[in-house]
Amino acid sequence: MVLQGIDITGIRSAGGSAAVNGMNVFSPWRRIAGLGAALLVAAFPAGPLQAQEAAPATEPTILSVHPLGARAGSTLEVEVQGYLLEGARAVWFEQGGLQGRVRDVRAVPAEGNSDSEAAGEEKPVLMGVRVKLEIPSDALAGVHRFRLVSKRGVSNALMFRVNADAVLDETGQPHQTPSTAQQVAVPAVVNGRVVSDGEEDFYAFELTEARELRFEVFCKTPGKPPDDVGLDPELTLYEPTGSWFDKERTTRLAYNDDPSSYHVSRLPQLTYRFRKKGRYLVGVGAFLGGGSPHFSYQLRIADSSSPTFAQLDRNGGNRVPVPWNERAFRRPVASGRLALLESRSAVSNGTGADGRLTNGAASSRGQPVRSGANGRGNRSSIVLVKEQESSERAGNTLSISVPGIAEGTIDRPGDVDRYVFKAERGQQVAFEVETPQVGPPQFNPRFGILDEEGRELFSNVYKRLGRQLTFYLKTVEPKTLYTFERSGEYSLVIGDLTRRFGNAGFRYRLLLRPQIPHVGEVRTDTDRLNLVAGQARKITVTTDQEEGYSGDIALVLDGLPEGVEFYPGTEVKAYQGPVPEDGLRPRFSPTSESVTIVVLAGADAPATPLPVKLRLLARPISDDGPGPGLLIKEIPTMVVRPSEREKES
Amino acid sequence: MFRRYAPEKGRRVGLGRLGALALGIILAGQGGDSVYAGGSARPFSFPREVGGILTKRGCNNQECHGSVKGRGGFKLSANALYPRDDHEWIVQGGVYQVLSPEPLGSRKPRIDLKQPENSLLLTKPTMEEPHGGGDRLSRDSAHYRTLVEWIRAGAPYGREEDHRAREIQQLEVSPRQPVIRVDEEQQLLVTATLAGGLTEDVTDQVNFESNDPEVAEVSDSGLVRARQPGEAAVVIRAAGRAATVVIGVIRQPLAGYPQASQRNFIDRLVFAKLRRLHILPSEPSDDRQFLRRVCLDLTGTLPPPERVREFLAGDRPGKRDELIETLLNSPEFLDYWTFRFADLFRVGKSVQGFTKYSRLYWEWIRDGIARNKPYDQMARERIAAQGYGGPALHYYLIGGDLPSPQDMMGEQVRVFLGRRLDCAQCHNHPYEPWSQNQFWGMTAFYGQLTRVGDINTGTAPYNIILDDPEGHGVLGKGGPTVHPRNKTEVRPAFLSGEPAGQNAAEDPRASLAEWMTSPDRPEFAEAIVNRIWGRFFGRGIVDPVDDFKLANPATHPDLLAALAEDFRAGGYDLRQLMRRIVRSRVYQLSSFPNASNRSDRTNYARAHPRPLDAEVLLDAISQVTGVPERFGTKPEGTRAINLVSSDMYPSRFLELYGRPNRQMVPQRKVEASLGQALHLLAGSTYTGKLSGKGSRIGRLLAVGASNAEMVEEFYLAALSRFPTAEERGELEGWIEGQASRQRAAEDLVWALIGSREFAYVH
Repeated sequence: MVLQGIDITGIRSAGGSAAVNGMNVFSPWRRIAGLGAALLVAAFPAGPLQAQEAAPATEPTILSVHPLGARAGSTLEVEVQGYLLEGARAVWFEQGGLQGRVRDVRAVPAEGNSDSEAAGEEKPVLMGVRVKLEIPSDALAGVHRFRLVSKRGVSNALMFRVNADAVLDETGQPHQTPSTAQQVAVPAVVNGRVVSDGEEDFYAFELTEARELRFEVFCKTPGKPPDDVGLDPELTLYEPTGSWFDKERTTRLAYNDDPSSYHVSRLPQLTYRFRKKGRYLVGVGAFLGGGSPHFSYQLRIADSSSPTFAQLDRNGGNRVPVPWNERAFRRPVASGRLALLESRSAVSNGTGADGRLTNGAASSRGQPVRSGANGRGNRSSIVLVKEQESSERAGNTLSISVPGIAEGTIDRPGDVDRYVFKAERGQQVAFEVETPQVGPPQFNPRFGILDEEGRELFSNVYKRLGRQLTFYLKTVEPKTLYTFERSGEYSLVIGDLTRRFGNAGFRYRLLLRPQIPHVGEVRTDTDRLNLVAGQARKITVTTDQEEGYSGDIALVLDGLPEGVEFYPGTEVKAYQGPVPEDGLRPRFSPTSESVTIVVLAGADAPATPLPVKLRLLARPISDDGPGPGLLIKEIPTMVVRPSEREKES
Repeated sequence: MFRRYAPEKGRRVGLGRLGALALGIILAGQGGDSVYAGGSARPFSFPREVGGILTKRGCNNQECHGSVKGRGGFKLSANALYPRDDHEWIVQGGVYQVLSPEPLGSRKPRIDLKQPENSLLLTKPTMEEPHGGGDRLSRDSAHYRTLVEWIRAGAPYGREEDHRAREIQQLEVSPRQPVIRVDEEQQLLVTATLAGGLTEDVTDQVNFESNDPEVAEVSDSGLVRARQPGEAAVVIRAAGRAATVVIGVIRQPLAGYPQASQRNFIDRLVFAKLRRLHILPSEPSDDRQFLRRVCLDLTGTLPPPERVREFLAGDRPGKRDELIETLLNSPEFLDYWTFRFADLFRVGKSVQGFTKYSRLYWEWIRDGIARNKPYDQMARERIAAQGYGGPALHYYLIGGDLPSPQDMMGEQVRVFLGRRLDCAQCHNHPYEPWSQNQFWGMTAFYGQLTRVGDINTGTAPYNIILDDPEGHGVLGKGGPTVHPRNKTEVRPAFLSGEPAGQNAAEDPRASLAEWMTSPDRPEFAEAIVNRIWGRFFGRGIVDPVDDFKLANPATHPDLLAALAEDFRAGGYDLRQLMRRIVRSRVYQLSSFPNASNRSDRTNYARAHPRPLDAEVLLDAISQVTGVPERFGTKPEGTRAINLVSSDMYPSRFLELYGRPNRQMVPQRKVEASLGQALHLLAGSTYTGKLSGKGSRIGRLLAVGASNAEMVEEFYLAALSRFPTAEERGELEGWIEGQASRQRAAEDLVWALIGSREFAYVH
């Protein structure tokens, strides 16, 4: 038989059906194991230790908790999943307030992860820990960090959200299509989970009138290994309009993945004005469509005027210490900034968390050096100058002094604000920009300093050679240092980098101040410390010395468990190749030093039943004496007996 | 028929704006050979006279010395576009170099001032010395004598003011749209408008070349002889100028050519040309053809069976227009045209570098289509994009580096002006009046384009695009644009050669965007209406749709101009443009040919079947079988046209059927291939979907559909028509005779989705 030239009686093969699927299969274990191991070579009083593998892969690691939140005053059961959780016995909330009790621990049936098997990796056992949570009615709404405690020690932290409003659970019925959407009433908070590849959870709601609503998703987003299991969520609003082709068809109203960067996954948020009453849908899925049992989320639908998740978190929940942020456009540069900086210098004689040095203090430098504290200003004299558009239109240029704060808005495309200030020859000035509302990459505040002839002396654009040495790498910097060569009057010009954008949210605050040598950011990646009796672990700490700070920085570990000591250590660093031309680096970057602290649990050190908070402190030191102790981080620490670990393994 | 004027016996000059006095001066100045037969000195104009001879004789065409590096060590500018260069190459000699203005090696003049007759310029084309280009010049010709006289006179270049006065500004060909019968002849008459406003018959001074000698050949003197029905473009080249005339060849004039009804200017202009060519348009399409065609063209989606039944049953006069409006406002239209422009604007993970950037860029396109954003605004946003928004991200490439300024410029010109300037990057364009200087002048608009941000740093994990006088690259990849030949800094200048104004210093690409989209420039609107037209007819009025050039003239220049003007006047409204097209009678013609239009491919006398694009075909197969394609981790039911970064989803089917990788401005392959045939036989798309989970076959069998119902359902779903009585009878009987109804149904569906009727828009 012939149909339009095709013989349908011909041979039709069943054909191969191997679908091509180029997506990476989710493999948390590979990521954990892929960390690799750094060699630790440390000098100890009793002789060198054997090189030992850093042990993230051998520590308890929790990947997810489901459900992700609950209302204050409720009691519920959650399941925490992760690896090396055998024998989990306690739930530890970092800031207290919530109580949890481990009900049981079981192995989660294998998913048949072909990725790991194909690679010949030893597949770890995914464990599920059922936990009964009790949330007091007076618990603060917001995020609460918790960890699990097992005989192997303390796990990494996950977040659990306490809600002020009632929380629904995702229905057990399939609701992955518009026609099967789960009905919710606005406002609503729903706990859900994107389990399968290609899953999009639909929730339907009715509006009886035009209304502006905000939609938000909270979840654990992908982070750094070993805990990088996370959902990159996307939010989509639909109206079930139907179409000529398909009466079930929806029309997409809005979409938001907040895709400001590939590397910094953000939680989507969508504010939408519904112009008419009716039935609408909101879908929650993964950006690239991948699903996992660990992809729990909480969806919130609320009036646009209600506080956001972020606002709730700032006001309540877990008030973990916010690390010092020297260079971020969102850090406040208000009038108290100078006092804060001085508190991080050696000269300041304020009392910190710990004013004393311990014997085992590690120093980032070899010997004490005199602190350079020139040009220090009087913080009480900071003057705030607010830019006004009417003044700008009249051609008036505002004057500002050093120290002083210029505050204004780039409220329209092409808007440029100008200020004048005086500087003395040799005066060392720091310029710090804050974007309190909209920041990069949408608003990129660029300022330039012009001399009396109108020539630009410098700007906050840092230019250096890119890694491939073929292009210039440029970044707009939140902080810039400059030493004036001549006394005179200078102009400060600030606008958006592109000059194409501007609105009421493009607010800036620019602090001009004398440079204050001080301790900048002090960082460590160590999130928890599980010490096996008789063995050592290391903590690598990086210190930034800002604005010519040339004193020492003493590092202190406070709150050591019984039988635990710490020592300075050294570490072999791999050769990184030649450094490309890095421009005027000192103008935009601090001097950084790294130091290794070796923490040794004595062979007789008793096991700790629960984590203790090991406090990492930094203390500036100069000829004038020690400055205040600065709390850098609280590190949950446990001592584990080797026999207990062996029993588990 | 035109009578040819005798060459080289004086020139016919028409009165222009200048009066008879000026005419007399010009006549005296250029005269015939006889005026200077005595050897007295006369003023020569190298550009007009020598350049004209070299052009007329074909010496400087792109196959000979007008090619990039010339031939045999002798370089001429194509078509005598750059006479100063030509004069230097002839008088001083030298071998052309692409990257330097300095000639390569020792310089060997092509003329001998002491013994003019021994000049290579003469001995080569007369074959006194071996010449790869063959015999081009006779010793007893007037051109030979002119060249000898010129060399004898010292090979002068002549005075610039004389050149300017005699420079050809425009060429006009008569008749403008000739139509001749097979075996008939037509003399072309070429008239030049000179700089001073005079017109001059230059028929004997120009070079004629047919682009399809099988349809119409043309002699050196411009005499056209028709060979077979069709159309051929004759390119006419004079020194520094070129023009084209399209020759229509018919077999027999049709007696009593009927008056076709018209709905809009498209019909008027297309039917007028058909009438001139004595080609009858096909009958209007029936509802079946129209429904399927308009659904696929506007939405890339097949109409579902129930809608086919409904549409075919209706007999309201305005039902086609109503359907068009429904489709233009459907979400499927938005999906499809987002896909189409994502193709043109090149959305892809491997293009933008990151999936999030591709998504942001794709969302910008989708938003533009959804809001029916004026197309000139979309173009300006893309050309001049800065900051972090969607259009700005299209510049970014994987690895952190930006494309070169010349690549960025070339892509924008191709996308928005339909011109390919690439050739002019290394040398003056061999076919078009675009010089290397103009290319780099345009490139200079992109010299300041810079990326700010570093995905590896905590404070700037993003890319901001802006124009910075310092540029971007350190190895000639940005910053001040340097001309590759003379190594001088190039200032931004438009393709017209006009330098950019002061505004360009601060925001060069904004100036460029304004210039490119200016209503005063026809190219912008013509490029997009041609592109859209090509999508609906399978062939652009200029085809390929982004290759506007003299040697590739529009088949319907009046129509192109009218569409562009309508588009401009309508506020660059893409939906309105499409509405105009699909409502026209021309679009709605049947694809069944008649005797007069069977061989015609270029005049829109009928609808020509067009293969479905890979993504649309795959979606159509999924739609008919009821088994969706699964793309990686995307939700089930995601259509191929809705993939944001399509390159993330490997698909044997899509590769075989021509999905472009979008690394360059896409040109889809439409040729059938052996791979496609094999895939049809054994590929999972054709075989695996027949009985997949939730298939239409399974649903029909489950509800106990009869053989007749099954046949009808699949015909409606796949072909948007009912089976004919013959098809119905044969197929029902055939199914009846099969042991397995399931198997029989699978064979039926396989045959339907493997048929050309299914795989084509027709």
